[in-house]
Amino acid sequence: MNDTITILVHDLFGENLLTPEEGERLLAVVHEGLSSGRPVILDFAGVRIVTSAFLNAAIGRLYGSFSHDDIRQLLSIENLSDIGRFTLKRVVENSKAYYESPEYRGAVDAASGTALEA
Amino acid sequence: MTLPGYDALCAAHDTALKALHEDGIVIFAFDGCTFLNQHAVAFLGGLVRYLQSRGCTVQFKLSSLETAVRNNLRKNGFLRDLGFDHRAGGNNTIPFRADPTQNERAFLAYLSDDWLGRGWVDVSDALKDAICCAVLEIYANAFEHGHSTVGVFSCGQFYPIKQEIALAFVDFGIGIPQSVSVVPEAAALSDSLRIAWALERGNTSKKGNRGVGLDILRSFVQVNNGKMDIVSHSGFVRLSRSGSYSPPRNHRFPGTIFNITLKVDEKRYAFKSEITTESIF
Repeated sequence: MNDTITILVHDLFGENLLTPEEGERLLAVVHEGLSSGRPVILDFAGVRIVTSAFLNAAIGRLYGSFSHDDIRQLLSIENLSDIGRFTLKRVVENSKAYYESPEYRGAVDAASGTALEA
Repeated sequence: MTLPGYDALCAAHDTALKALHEDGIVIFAFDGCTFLNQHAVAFLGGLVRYLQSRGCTVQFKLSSLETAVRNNLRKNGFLRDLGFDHRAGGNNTIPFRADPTQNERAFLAYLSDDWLGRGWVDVSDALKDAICCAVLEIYANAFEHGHSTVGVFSCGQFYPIKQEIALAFVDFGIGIPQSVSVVPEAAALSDSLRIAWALERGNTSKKGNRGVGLDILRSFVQVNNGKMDIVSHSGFVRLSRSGSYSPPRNHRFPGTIFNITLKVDEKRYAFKSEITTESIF
């Protein structure tokens, strides 16, 4: 059964998506949907502000559980603003580099300390 | 190019800390000062709070304030916030703000209402939202990674002749060069190059899939004809469409100053994304 799951982000979080904690809540919902093998649509209609911290937690971390191909085939984004797509594109590229390259991940984590996110 | 007063502010910081250790009292005098821009107000307001948090008695020589400077400090709420005056409000200033703790929603309201919602910014709601998104990256970064014991301080100014809006953030934390010094690749660099390193995508000193916030901000400023100065330790980086520039400085500041300037003209923005939804993944 491949019924599409549509998640109306505004209904869950309102018009401003700001914190990683909120992102983790969305991650749980998306993760559950993708785990079922059904297509998932994230609909951002009505959302105005979205930060990289939110998108890192909500979508970037999916690459730690699902393959690039699975995400590309099953996850769709709708009605995300220009700045949102701009931010998400960078989050995705960074997450793919981190999760899909053990060498890169090892180097980042080995070097990581306690401070600044660049 | 001259640096817009950063070394003078850092020198004031050094002098104040010396007075703190020697006398426990610091008196701010403004003799000869004809204008305080947004980063000076944010910096001095933060310095006052920092000194007070360390038990210092802080006084202002109000008689040294020229009328224009005094009026500006009233209008942006600086004097009121620090308890030296009770009149505030008006014109091209964007209020001085102290955030002892991180509160993105309150700060977003400040951006939307006091910085972009004052009627002087003739841009679309979508672009206002985009600017808020970019600036929030500075705010989050300052809290998550600055480790400032007194929080983050901000102030803004509208420059009608240049048609620019500017917003400055100051924290009194550990600074970018120290933050990234845990990364071997960055540790060997000068302070300015460490700042530049921190602005590149994927460069982070935190574990996990991090390292995009400042890259997004850098890209936004450069694509949209803006300008951003970052001062931390003895480093300085100025970002603009033409690239980055790092002149030497004479003074060291242990925290971080972010000073972002954006044009108030929709035509100056080239932010219409070419990223299609399908190409994201």
